[in-house]
Amino acid sequence: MSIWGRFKNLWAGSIQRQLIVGIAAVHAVMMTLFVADLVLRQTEFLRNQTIGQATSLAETLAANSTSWVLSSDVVGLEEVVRSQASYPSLQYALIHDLEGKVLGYSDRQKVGDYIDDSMSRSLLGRAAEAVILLNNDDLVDVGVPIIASGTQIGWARVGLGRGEIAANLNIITRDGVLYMVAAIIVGTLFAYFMGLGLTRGVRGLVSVTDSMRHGNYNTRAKEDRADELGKLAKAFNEMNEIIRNREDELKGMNSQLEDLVTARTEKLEATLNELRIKQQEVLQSEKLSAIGGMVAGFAHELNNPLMGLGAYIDAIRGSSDPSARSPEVQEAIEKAGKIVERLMKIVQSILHHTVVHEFAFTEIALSESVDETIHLFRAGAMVEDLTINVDISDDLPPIWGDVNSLQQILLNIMLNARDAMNESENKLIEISATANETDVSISITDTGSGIPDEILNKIFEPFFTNKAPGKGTGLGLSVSNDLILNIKGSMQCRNRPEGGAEFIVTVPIYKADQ
Amino acid sequence: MTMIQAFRSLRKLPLAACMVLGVAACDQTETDAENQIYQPTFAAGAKDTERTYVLGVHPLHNPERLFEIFNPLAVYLGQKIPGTSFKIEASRSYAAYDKKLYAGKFDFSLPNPFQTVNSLKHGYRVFGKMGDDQNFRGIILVRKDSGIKKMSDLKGKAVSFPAPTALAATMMPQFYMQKNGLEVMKDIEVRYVGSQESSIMNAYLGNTAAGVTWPPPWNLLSEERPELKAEMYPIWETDPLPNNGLVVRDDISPELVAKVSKVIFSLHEDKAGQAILSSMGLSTFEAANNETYQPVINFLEEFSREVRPLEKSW
Repeated sequence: MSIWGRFKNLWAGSIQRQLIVGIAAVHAVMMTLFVADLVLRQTEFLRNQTIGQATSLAETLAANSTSWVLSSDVVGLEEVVRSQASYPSLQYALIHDLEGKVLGYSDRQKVGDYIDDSMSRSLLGRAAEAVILLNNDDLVDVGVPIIASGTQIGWARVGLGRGEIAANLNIITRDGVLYMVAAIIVGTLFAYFMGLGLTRGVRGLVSVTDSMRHGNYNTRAKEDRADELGKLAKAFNEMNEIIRNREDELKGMNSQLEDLVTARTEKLEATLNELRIKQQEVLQSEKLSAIGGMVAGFAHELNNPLMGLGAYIDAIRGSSDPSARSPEVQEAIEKAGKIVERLMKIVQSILHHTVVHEFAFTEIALSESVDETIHLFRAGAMVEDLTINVDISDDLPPIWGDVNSLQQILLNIMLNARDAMNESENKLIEISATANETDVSISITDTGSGIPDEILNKIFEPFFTNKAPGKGTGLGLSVSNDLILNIKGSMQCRNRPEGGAEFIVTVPIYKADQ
Repeated sequence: MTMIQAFRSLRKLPLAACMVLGVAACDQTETDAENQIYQPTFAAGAKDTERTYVLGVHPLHNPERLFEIFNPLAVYLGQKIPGTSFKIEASRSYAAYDKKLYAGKFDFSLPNPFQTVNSLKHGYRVFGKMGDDQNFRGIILVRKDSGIKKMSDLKGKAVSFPAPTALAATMMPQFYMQKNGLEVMKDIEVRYVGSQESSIMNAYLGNTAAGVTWPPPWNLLSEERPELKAEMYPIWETDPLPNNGLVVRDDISPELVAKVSKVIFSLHEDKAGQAILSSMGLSTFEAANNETYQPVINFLEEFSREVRPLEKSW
């Protein structure tokens, strides 16, 4: 960093420092100017005073010596010169004629000699008027012409020393410098304490700011000062209060936001899980669709030979009296017929599963549709010891979908329930329904053995069954699941805590604009 | 104060500050030469100045007055005689004049007749004299209201005289008083007051009953101060003697003396010279020699015998 940069940092780093240096500098400059001006004025005054004294003395000397000079009376002139000898600071008094001959001098030995130095000789031939020959720090030398009857007859010179003046000036200068130093010290102390007072208030504010920065809004700046800093502290505390309140508000809002985010996140996670499930289902569906296509082709190809085979078996049956055949042959024919019948049932089921249905969406009254399904169920199944309880209010809103698909779904579930209750003493199916704003949920429960947890997520897969071989194709619930998806509904299954399973089929409510 | 002086004063401020603050490292910039206080220096002889001849005039008047009257003559001589200059030297008393005259201090001099004859024994010779001898007489002045009518009225009273050696203004009047019935040294209080003007003023102011002088001072002073003429008058006057002499020291070259004589004796011939003579109350200077003053010697002999003894130096 440059020297200037360091100086700026040093200067700008502290208000107290700026005050001290600033005031000290101002004092130094002002007092220096004051002392310089004082000394200059005193010097000028004392110099002029000395010049005036020397001139006055020289004029007196000239006036008193006129007749003595005219008389060349060196004794008289000696008295005249001696009369001035006691004058303070007098260095010499000199009287000489126009040729430079000394007529009177402080040192009487020089009387009769001639002035010799250039400055003295500069008087010779000079106009008859008072002249300052020398004016320096040590001496002032004034020459005054001695005039008699308008004619100059000589020069009177006086040399006054300025040693005393110099001593006085030194005292004045010394005192001035002392005052200057004292002023700088006093000013610096004043600036120090003033800066201390100012920066104490500022430091208090900085301390409060630091506390605030670290989250502590309970610290307060002192408001005991009546000056601007006190007002600033008061305003600062008010600001602190406002910030603290807003901070609290923010915290509350933040907490709410966090709760909201958590809730949303949970919801998103649930949605994501659903999406994953749906994705799995879609994948499964696509896989099943591909398998179904293949199976459908396979079933179609099997159907005709099986029908031919059945026809041949029927032809064999009708070609002769069954009693004419040996029991073994008759038994074989019957078994073959049953096997073909079973194969055809399987093929028909496959074909039924894989054929694309035509859906006729319409407004459905659920209770009626359920009653019809129960009627079909009782007609087609050996269920004399099975009780079906229906609890569906007539106030339920109508639903929207394909009634055949709905009845097929309910029928499949009821058939599975029947099969699950083979070993149950109390065979009971309960059907109920609830509605919300958008959907109607149909609950079908049984009192069977329930569904093992490990297969609960596989029961809607095609060809999946836990029934004994030959008792189920594994396509019923798979077909039902496809149908409910096609009518914009859904289907779930769970085991009841009290035993048995519960299927919940959700179907959208009918809306007038549909 | 000039700027340079102001700067020099300011230059000492840091020095003073150093003294006050005790900073030992401050340089002493003043040199010894600067600290040496000026003193005039002197030489034994004049440098390249033309010779100035001193013309000493006996105390006809007080020095300033005498200078006023005779300095024009010195200037005139310097102008008329190239290569020379003259200056008038007065004396505050006859004694002082005598001392310098007899010491040979003057190159030229204008002594009174008594001093003229005395100077002859001290290396001087007479080469001229003031004209108008009829004016070289003593006059005795009294106030008109003094009541002095006859010489005996002065008995017991003080009479002011310029100086004991003043011929016209003292000795001749004393001799006159002696001849007219007064025992000068006994009957009156002889009061020597130093100058012609002082002698007149003492009588005017009543300090003395009479004031003795000679015509030129009286004429000049009474013209300047008419009240003197109004209130005083010359009650007696003496017989004349040869006027003041012009003497020259013997070592002065005859050529210069001739030149000076020529200028002085022809003053009355031009206006400038006449103006000079007029201020002296004189019509002319004229040539003279030592013998011209024999009557004076005779008077001195008689005065010394009858009035008071004189130191005989003639």
